[in-house]
Amino acid sequence: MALAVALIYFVVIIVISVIQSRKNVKSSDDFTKAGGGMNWLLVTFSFVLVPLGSGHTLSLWQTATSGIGASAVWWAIGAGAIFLPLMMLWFGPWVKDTRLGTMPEIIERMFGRGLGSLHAAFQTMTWTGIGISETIATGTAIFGLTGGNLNKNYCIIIGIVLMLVYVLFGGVLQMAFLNVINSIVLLVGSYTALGFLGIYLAGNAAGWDGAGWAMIQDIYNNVGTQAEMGLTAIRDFLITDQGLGIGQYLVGGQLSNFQLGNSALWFEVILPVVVLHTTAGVVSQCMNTPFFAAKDNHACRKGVFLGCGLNIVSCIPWVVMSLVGMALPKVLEAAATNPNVKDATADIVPLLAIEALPAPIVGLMMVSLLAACLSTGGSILMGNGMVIASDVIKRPWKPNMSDKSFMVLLRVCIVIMALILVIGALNMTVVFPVFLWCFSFGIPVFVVYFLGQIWKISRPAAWITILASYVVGIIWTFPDTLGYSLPSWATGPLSLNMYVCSIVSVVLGVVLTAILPGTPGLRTKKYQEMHPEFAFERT
Amino acid sequence: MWVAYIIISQIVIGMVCCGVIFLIWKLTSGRGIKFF
Repeated sequence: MALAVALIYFVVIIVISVIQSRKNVKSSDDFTKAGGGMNWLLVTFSFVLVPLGSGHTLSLWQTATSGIGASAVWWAIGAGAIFLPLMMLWFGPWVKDTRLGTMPEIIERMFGRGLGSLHAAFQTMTWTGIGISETIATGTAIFGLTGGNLNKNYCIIIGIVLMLVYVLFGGVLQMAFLNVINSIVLLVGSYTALGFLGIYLAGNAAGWDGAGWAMIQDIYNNVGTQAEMGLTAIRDFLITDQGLGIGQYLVGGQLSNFQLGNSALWFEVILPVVVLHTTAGVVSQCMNTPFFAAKDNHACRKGVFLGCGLNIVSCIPWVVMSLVGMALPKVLEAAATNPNVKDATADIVPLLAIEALPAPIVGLMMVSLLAACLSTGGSILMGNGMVIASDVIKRPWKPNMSDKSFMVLLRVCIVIMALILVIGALNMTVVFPVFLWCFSFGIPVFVVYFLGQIWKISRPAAWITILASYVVGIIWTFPDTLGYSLPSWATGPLSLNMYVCSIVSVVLGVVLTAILPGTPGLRTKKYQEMHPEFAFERT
Repeated sequence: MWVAYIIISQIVIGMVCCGVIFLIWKLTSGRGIKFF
């Protein structure tokens, strides 16, 4: 029932948006950049939903249930209150100023065709990894919609089909319309579910020290209460028999979002989200798509507070629900016994919804989860398809391709990217580490891009910085597989490749750009005087 | 109530961060831009 409601909802809004956008989509430029005419509201909603997918929902509740607790909501502060304003106020208008169509094209103008192609290849790989995470999250939402009765693999396949439909027909403009509707559905659905969860808890609190939400607090704070409820036994069963870590951190303090003394919070949530978004995100095609499509710089900037507000509050219901799910024996029992559960930490929220919420609210909540993941997944498909079709195929091999042929090519590329995502999603369960690893490949590109915008474009410096950072990143990734050991200090967070990649990128990037030959940066007055054809007005 | 506390503190922290970044942009954007 809930699945039917959700599918009808998406079919209806997609059909409406296709009809709406088809009138305006006559060429590939309309498809990929909405004709460069998107107003500030469409830009804001489109951009807000790009970094707001599984990162704010599925992967975040997995992080919350594996030791970080409610402090996982800091992820959204990093993405929504730091990265988002930086992007909307500075980096988005920067790409708009270039009047080009893709990020690899900008990199090519700055550093030559070779580096543009390298960026096209690596950014596609990076966002394929992140797209796989989105596909898993989409499958999880559909799993919840089926009441946990459909095999997760089928759910993932339905998810990718929806994602394709999301982007395939009307392009960026269609996605922008859908994103406006979905942003509203996302917030309304998830907060309504949270309200109903409160009612459920109040109704089932008899006999405990506190009613409603306070009951959950009591369970977390009191080991005796946990034992009395039988939680300890289920938790041990899940950990020892199924190898799942769920519930092992059911301790007081997990319900606070201010566990600032927890180093894992800093090294695994706050720093990664800020560093990786503001580096890999800035040079990625899918994050920049709304800005390429914006009417002007004013349209890029105007919605900054609205966007921030939407982004930062959207993650809270999911994190709270996962923490509540971990404290309820019936939900954990379902995780232990349901044969369709592939990973209990991922499925805890749908299982809680099925246990605690009325069917229509489960439907609404899962539609809102779908809204988040589909929009991000759709943007990634669009971004990757665009880079492959334009930067890897059209510009190097067939620069004179007709507009009609390019549209066909673009759609084929989008479908191929979708197939790659679904293959990955069927073979993976853990989302969060994949984010961190994939994002790391954008760090050196951002460093040379940033320096090349405001200071100096040095091609040899850019090549050395990027290649060195990639080599170090790969060395950091495969010590076990290839049989060597990392330095003794590379333990804990420093074993993540993002930190070492950041250090290598910044040090090499700055030093080499300073000492090696180059030309003035793209936004400098000197460059504008040397290349009047690329000049733009500063706004 | 812990849920309300998380929601309110999140909004306050987020808006302060965004506001500070906006202020920096406003002060450094030279001629500036008419915003609203």
